[in-house]
Amino acid sequence: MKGLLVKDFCLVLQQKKFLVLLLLLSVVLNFNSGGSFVVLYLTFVCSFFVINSIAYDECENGYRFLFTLPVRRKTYVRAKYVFAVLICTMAWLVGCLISSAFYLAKNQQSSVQEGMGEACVLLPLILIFLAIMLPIQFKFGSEKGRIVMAFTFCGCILIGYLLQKIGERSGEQIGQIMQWVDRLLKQGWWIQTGILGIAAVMILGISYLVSITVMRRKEF
Amino acid sequence: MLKINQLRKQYQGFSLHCSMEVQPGCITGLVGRNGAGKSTTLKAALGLIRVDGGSVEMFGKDVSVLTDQDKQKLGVVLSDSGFSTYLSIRDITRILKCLYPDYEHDWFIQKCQHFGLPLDQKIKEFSTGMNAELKILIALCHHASLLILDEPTAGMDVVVRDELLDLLRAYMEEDDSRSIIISSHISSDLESLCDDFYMIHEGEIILHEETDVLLSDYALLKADEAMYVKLDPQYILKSKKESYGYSCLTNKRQYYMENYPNLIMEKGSIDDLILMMLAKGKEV
Repeated sequence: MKGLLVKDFCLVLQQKKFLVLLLLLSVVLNFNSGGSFVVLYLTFVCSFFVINSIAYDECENGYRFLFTLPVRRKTYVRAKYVFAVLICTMAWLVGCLISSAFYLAKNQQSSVQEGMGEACVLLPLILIFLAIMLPIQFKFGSEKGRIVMAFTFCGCILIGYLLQKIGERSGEQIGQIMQWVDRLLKQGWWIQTGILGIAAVMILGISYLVSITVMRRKEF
Repeated sequence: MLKINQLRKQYQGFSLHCSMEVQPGCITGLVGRNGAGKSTTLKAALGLIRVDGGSVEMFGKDVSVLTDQDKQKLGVVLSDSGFSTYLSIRDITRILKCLYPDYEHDWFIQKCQHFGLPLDQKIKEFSTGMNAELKILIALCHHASLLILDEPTAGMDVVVRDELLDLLRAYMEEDDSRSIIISSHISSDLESLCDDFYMIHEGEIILHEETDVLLSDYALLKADEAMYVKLDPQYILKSKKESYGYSCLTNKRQYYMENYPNLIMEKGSIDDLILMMLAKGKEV
């Protein structure tokens, strides 16, 4: 697995200019927007390095050669999930540093904790986004994957809308659940982070198992 | 080392059904026309495709249960695939170090420099020949026991091709239990390298012969109409109508030399064999 991670990080480092530009842009955006926007921006953009790494592997029948190396399909999938967690966490940490440095420079020490609270919610959200994206990319590849991804997110929005409508029309039972969720979220960022963290771990686990099944069925 | 037994794979419009074996210490050639099933056979041997029947054994194990340690004993060149072309050789060395405990870094770098391969340039900027050279060096750099080479010399110039074939010979001389299976369109490569051949046509093995036997016992007989009628057809494998009469492929050169002293005869080469066995034309 180490070899695969080295490969993926080598591919990221091939885009040094883009990384420097991204970092500069993040600092500028932070001056304009403030808060935890920079954390969201950096982590979200860097999450696409994971999707891109799959596109690189797929390009020019790359999978065919990759699986002649001492790498099993399960190991390959595991390496991608580890890479996803590593790259997102690294980007998130850099975002947090920039955001905190901005608050400290403006002598707003009290805002650091508030900003970190907001930022903590973002990492599991981005990981859930990747957990949905990765099996789609493995199954459909980078080209078709984009189309399927668009449909998936449309589907998610539709499901959300339908749930809201059902909630409005339904009786007390769903209303009570919604109130309970609302109360829970108002407890503070650490509750939100905890809930989202547990959800992210569970969704990543399910996504990992689906991805292994997809890759095992593939022919190269 | 590698045993393919009654392998079956069905695609729309193509069916593969073949058996073959690569013995330890041997270089086995796989020849055939484009679309004959060479790459499909090698892909099945590498476990890259699901098979519809039969079995593939590598290092005495079914290919589906090979461990990472088993695959470390394998070196592969695929004509249409390799490391991402966005990587440089320097990046690849970092990856190889992690993947193969027996990776020979100094040897690899020295050979790359010898063949003039730039270490820090992206592979996508390499010529076809340079890319092919790199693929062979990657397959050779970790003391593999078995090499599976699909069209490894495609795109190389004659001088480099010769040097790389020497590398393959040296690789075999280092350890007499090593083996190579190689598919190529360049018959001179195979003739000078392989111990035995498999010829595949429309998904089936139509010939298996040792190179020494092929070069000593096979011949092209050239006969006019009158001579052709008198020829004993017992050892004629294929005949083809030509402008001067008939050309016939035999695997008993000595028999025809002794019994038909006036017959024009050319020593068999792999090209002749391919042309006679596989060529479409006026077959008799």
